[in-house]
Amino acid sequence: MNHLYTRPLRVYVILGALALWGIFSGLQLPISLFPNSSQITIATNIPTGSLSSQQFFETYGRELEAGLQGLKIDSTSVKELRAEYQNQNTLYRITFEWGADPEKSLLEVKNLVNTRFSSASDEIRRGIWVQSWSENRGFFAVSFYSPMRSLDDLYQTLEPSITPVRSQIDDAGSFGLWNPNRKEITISLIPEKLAQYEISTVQVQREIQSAVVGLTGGTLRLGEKDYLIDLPKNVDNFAMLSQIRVSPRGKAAIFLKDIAKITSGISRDSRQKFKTSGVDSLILFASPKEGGNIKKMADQILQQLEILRKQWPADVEFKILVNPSEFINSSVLSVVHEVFLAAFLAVIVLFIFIGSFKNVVTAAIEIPISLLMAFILMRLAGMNLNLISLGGLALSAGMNVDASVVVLENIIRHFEHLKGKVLSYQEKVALVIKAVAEVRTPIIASTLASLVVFFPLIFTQGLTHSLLGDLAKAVIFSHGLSAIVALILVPTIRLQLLSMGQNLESHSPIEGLLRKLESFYGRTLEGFLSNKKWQAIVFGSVTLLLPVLVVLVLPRLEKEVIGKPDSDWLLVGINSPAFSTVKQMESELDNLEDSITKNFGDEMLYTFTQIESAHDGNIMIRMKHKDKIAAMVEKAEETYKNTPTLSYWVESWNPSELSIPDPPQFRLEVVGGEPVKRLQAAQDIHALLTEKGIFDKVQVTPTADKEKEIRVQPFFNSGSESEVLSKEELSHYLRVATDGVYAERIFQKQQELPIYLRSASDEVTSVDQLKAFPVGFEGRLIPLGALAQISLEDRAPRIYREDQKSLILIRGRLNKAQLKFTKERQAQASEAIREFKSKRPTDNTDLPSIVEVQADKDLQQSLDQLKWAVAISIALVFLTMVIQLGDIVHSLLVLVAIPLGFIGVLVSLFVFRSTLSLNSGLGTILLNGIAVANSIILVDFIRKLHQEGKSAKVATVEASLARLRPILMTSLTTVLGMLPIALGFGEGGKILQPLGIAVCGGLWVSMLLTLYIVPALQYLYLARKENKSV
Amino acid sequence: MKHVLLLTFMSVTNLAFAASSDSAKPVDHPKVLLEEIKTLDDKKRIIVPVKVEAKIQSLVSADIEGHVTKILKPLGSTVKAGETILFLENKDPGFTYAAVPVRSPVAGVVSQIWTSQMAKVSRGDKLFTVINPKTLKLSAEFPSSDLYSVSSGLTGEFKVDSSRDLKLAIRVVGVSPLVDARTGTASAELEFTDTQAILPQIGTIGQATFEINQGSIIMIPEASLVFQDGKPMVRVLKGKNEFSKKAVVLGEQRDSSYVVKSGVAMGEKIVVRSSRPLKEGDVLDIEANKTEKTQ
Repeated sequence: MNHLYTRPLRVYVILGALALWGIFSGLQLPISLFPNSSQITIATNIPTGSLSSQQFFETYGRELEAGLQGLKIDSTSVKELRAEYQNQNTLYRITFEWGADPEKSLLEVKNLVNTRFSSASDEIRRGIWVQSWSENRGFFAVSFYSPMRSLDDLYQTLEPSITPVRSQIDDAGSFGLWNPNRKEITISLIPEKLAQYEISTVQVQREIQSAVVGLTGGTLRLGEKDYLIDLPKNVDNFAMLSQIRVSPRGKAAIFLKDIAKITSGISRDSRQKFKTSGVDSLILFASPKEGGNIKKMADQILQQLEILRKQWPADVEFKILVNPSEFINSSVLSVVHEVFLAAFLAVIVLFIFIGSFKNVVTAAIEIPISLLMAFILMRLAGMNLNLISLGGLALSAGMNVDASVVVLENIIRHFEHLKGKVLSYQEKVALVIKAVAEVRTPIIASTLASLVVFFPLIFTQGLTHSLLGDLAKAVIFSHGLSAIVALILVPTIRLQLLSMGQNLESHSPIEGLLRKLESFYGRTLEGFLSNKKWQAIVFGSVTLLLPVLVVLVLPRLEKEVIGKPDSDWLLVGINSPAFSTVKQMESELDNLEDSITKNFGDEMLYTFTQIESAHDGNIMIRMKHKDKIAAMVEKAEETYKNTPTLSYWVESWNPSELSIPDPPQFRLEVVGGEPVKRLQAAQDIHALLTEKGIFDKVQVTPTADKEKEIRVQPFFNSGSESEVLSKEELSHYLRVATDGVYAERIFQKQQELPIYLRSASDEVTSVDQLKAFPVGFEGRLIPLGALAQISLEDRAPRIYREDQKSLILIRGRLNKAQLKFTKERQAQASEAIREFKSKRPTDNTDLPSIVEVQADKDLQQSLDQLKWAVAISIALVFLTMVIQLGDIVHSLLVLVAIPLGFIGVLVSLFVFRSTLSLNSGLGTILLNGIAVANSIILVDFIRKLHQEGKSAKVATVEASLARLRPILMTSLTTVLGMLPIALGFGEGGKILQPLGIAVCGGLWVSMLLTLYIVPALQYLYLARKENKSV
Repeated sequence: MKHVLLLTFMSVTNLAFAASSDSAKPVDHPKVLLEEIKTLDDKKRIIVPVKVEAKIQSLVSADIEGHVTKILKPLGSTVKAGETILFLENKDPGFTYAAVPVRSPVAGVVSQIWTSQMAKVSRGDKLFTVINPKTLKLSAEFPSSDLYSVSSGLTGEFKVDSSRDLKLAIRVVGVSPLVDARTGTASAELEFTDTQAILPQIGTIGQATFEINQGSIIMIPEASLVFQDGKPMVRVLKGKNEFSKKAVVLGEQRDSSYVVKSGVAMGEKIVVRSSRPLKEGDVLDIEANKTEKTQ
């Protein structure tokens, strides 16, 4: 090192090169909102074919579930398996533990399902799909418009160039241009004509298919060449469809035009609909695949669109509706601002205490350098820039100067001793080396102490690990490097400045104030030490305060996994079971849109309407400013109150990529028993909880309703099929009459036109109407009701299974404003359930059991893990202290700072209405490391002075006074550095706010109390020892 | 000094406690839609497809083997009863090749000609059909399950899907006692009762709807039901804006309504929909002038 300090150029070049590498690495780091570890859920849907849900479960389900549950991707296993057996389909959702590889998970599930169903019927095998599943995934949307073109024209202009772009987008899961004017050819079959000519719908479909599809007749070799025998399609355009012959061979020719009206128009099947600012538009939708980076995807699409724009006619414009990239950029950027702000504030604190600009720069230079070098390690560790890792950097910015400050101070102290003497260069070098050597061990030890607390986080799992891993790594990288940089760079700069003959003395600009503070501290501490009454009061109240806070405040803190960033999207949704058509929903949303424009017109930019079905639609409102979103949500909640026929939901929406669990407040499982009895019990409990109004929402999975179905039971004669209508024909006929049946498609002007068979008669709205459908037979018209028993019947209860166990799930949720009553409501609900259970007959063994399950299992697990991490980190700090101090009592004295910090954490979390979350837990861990640093300085110095022979009181007061400034300086750089985070500046700051509050509040309180309580305790201990020895 | 600090903390904490325990929320009265219970005629509806046919219709076939020499009355000609439609020339020398006139047995219009001039016909071949377009009948097939309520004289309504406004009164003329095992139906003949009306064309297929009164019933919409211990209940308006729950005994379900066997009485008002689940003691905010349409 000797050589190092004397060769400044070499040090600067090396560090400069590292900094450049750091900049390069930093620019290469992918950006996302959250750490890139995620929880994978794979969904697979399997048609039940001709089997009922119960039969399907018995034939395939039980075995498949066992197989799925046993899957292992590398070392991650299946965390949860949910299976829903419905009447026509079975849906399995397989959720892996955090961190499973998305591609491998998908492949494994695919393989298993394909193997299990390799010998199943064609109908089942053809309908199987396996894909990754996400309940809340961000998406990207762009709308296209042109003042000169119709939507059709626009679609035809754009579609051929947009669809191929998909292959260029690496992380896209779904990608497609949505056309509101999607056309279809509707063949409206006239039931009377079908009956009259005795033609079945199955026959019509067959004839259409054979007409529009071309076939081949093999090849024939003529001479030296093979000739393909081609049977071209007879019909390739709309006009020719009417000429398709539908009557069977050997009978009079009947054409499609005789039995149907053939029209081409906007698809009747389009249940989904999207509008921008109230106008239909072409929309490009894209969402990332599982594990994909949504920001990268959005950026790539935009890039491609910009290229394509040049090929398109000049009148084609596009507008970005939803761009997660923009949101992520601004969120991440706001945390970057916080990093800078934190560094700036730390520098200000330094300046206030040190005074000399040169000295401040010498110490502060290491903030950017350790940060840039941390980027190198982050890149090597495969991390990305996200709110969490950047938050870690912001946190460490204030802590990072500590090491430099200590080195700097010690060098100054050594030179102050030799004030006035003229030193040779060699003497200066020797002195600097000596000064650094003195503090090297303490710096490394104290840095290790503040990093060792993160060690237990390595052993956390799942969510905690995924979310906090990045933060811990970022802090370890940047703070660890800061110690190394401090030991190398600071002495080098000092030495160079010294050799240039610079005067390095400096005085704080608030020297007078600091002196006053010191004298005040000296007097009060001395008074405190000699007043037994005050000591009793303070020790007593502090000892009392902590348990009081733990009992009273801790349970009242809201719990959450992690905060979510603010967004500029307000979402107002409508739910209406009473609506039967998409048109109804559309007109209601139009009304809502008008009202929103009236109420929020000044605050919003544009709206984006999504109609999911006749019962479900929402309007997304893009606001001008993010900061007003909370007020807007409240205003919207106030404005849009449920009516008997409509229910509204309001929330702020953000294109988050991470499925952060949103656990209900209450969770109950109805397990076992007969399916019918299970449903009955679930219904009763649902009614009970709803009636008592304990929760704002009670959800039942799969359903609380006794479901009905329209059962059509053909009267077949003695097992054989009916002479009039086969079962297949009957089912086809009914499907044509209700949903419509896809027959085939034709291409016209390169545009795909699907052909649907529908019924020309009025929409069927009653069972009687269904019974009256005509079927032709031997010149007579037979009503459908004569051929089959058509009736409304109870449907077999759906089977829902979790982790291979049949159950019905009941979940209670509270609105945001009611969350503080969670405990009370949970207790009320448990009481109600106890009462309900006590009334049930006990002798009946068929009854399902009702099990209350901890609702927020994930969250609780995470918090429990954190509790352990906190405990272990305290133990580790203690061990470090024992090793360093070699004395258990003094080590314990050092640890007193930790409970004092807890008081600060609890009070500030409560006062600032923050939450008990992963972040505040992490803040507490971080605090443990920092808080002991203060007390260790005190304890160590008091002990030293006492060992030098000073009396307990003198040693205590003197040492405390001498250490006041370093304690204030290091604490204030940290506290002020974290202040922007604690105040939640910027939307990214909201996520880390609990952490900032915990550290700021905790450190502040711990510092103040440490300054009095630790010296007092140590004084009592030393005084007692003195008395004993006397 | 220290106690000041502590006291400050304590008081801040206390303040915060005080603030958070202030949980009084504004009273939220649920909005509800009501429906008044009315006694309705219990109508059993039978809907069957029907075909309009000519009541008087005659299909004439050849009595002899020979050639069609001349068709006097082409398709669509109005003919009187006994008028000659075509001539058949007998091939049999025993009949001296005389042209035999084939006459229409009924007055009407030639609606179908199955042969053509100079065509050879055999005995029994179809020659032509004469129908009387003025006198129409309707033919229908009734499912055997409905037969007990269908008898001659039963009146109903005829409508054609394509022209919705056209509704014509009809009457059952007679029902065959024979049920065809293959279709599960019995044939029936119906007629239009209003002879003055503009009647549909022969060949038209439409729907006949019969409503058979079976007394009176009370029906409630499915949405108004709540369940307690698995038993159906309705919320009946009590006083001005309160409610009480009453158990009901349900009969069959008809589309989205239920027949009520007992439990509610005429004139009572029941809650059909509400803006949130109702709890005991709720004061109802009744939505005026919006009531669900009674089925």
